[in-house]
Amino acid sequence: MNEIIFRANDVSKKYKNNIALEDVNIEIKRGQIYGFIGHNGAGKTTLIRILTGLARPTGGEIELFGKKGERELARERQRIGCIIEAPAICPDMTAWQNLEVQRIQRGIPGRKSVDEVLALVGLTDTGRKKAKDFSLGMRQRLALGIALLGEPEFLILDEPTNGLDPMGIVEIRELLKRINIEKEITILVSSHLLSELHLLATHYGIIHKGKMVQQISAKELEDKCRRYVRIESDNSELAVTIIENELKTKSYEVSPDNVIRLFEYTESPITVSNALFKGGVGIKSIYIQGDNLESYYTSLIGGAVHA
Amino acid sequence: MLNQLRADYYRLFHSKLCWVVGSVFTVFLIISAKMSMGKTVFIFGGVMGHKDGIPLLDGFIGFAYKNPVKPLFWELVYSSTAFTGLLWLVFMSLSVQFISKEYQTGTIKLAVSYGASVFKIYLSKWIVVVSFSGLLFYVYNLATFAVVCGVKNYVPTFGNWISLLALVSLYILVLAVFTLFCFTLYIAFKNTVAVLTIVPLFMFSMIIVINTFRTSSFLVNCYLRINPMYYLSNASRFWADSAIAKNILLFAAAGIALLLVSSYFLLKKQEIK
Repeated sequence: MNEIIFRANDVSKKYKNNIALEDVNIEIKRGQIYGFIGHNGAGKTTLIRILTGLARPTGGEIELFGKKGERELARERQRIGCIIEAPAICPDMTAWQNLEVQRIQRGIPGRKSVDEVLALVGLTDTGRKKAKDFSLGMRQRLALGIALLGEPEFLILDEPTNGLDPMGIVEIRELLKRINIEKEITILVSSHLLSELHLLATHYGIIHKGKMVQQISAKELEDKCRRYVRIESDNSELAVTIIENELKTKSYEVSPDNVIRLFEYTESPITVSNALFKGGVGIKSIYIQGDNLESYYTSLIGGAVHA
Repeated sequence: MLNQLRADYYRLFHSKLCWVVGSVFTVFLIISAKMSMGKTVFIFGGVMGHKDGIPLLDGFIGFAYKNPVKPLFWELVYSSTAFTGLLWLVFMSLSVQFISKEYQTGTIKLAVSYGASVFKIYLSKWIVVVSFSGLLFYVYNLATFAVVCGVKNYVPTFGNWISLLALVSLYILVLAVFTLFCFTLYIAFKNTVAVLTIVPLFMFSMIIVINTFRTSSFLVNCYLRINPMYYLSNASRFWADSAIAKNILLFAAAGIALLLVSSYFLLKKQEIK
């Protein structure tokens, strides 16, 4: 589980008058669903393009499955599956033909794999319908099917839920979760739909203006985003005793500056303040704190902007 | 490389392009048959002189016989290959559409992201276009020749067929360079309209250059020698002048080598967008 699938070491990408990436470091381990967050132009696609060999870094280096260097990377890329920007499909071909041509090109044995992937992405019934007549959601599913051909170990998905209806989004999310667990496929997924990523990712990388702002696990993020009652008092020891005895909870933390973070009673902080007041604790401040992914991201990016 | 070739043939045979090109060749075959039966003459060039009473062409003249009742073998060949001067437009469209589609649909990104070499993809596409259009061109010329001979009650000998195949092979060699030229221009400009404008201008400019600069200076000569239309125009005289076949072979060898090297460095320099 600790095998590093992809690593970027100080990767930079400079165009004539524009720095797309600046000393970006990333580490993605086997089994992770890595949510890559950043607004348009932040550098997500540039990094994915470098990872997939479509662009060359102007500084730093990347490692894929522990290998680096042009030739080695090209060989290791046979173990990945990807959707980059728009779905890459032949519009004059059917879903089956699109998968078949990719199967031939990549030397994947057996036509059975094409039928299996078609079933996996729910396009079995498309028959002789050409891809050009598909809805955007169907194209996206076909692109995902192409990415899943040959059972890749590492799936790279750039905005995979683009154009999907709510049901489609749920289906794709469940599918990605399933293949991540059942087939142990590591997934890098970039998206601007933070709420969607929040339901999927096990780890996050937040990129802003070409710089990696933070890498964080879902567990760490959950802790950071967890809602709590923040209590600043004149006697934190007494306050803790009251919380344990009167409010019957041990779900709290006390920081070195004696601020208490109480993870229960977030819906009724008045109960907490009443209990503390009755117990003779002087309350300096008491309020609810905590983020969701969106507000956490916004505060992080805002901080980065002004840093 | 073999997988890439198989995939490209699959793409070609499952595309509209394949059927459009096949239909165009069929239309030209029907026109040839019609013209063989009528009195219409196709002229795209002129007669340079004669050898053994047979006209030597600079360009393409079809369905014009000194004695329509008893046509000469080479007159029949000229008729069956008369539309070569126009068919390169089909080759051009096929080449540009086939290579550009890969970039337009983004499937080249997929191939590269799976570790395929972009030059191998390029090479494979060129081989597929040349082999497909070459085969089509052989079939078309043999069929047209058979029709023309049938209409004129001429029974070709085995040697006649070989001579025809030799001429068609020379045309295909020129068209192989021409296809690569279209490919190279496309990867340089990544613009279909630009290529479809530049290539015909370059090809047809030969006619203007020849008519304007009659006295061949070194520069004019060089210009003509790099223009595929020059070789297409004089290939039909190869049986009368052995230097023509040699020049075409040299043009093909040098042209393919030079264009492949140029393409390699162009592709190496580029990032796929």
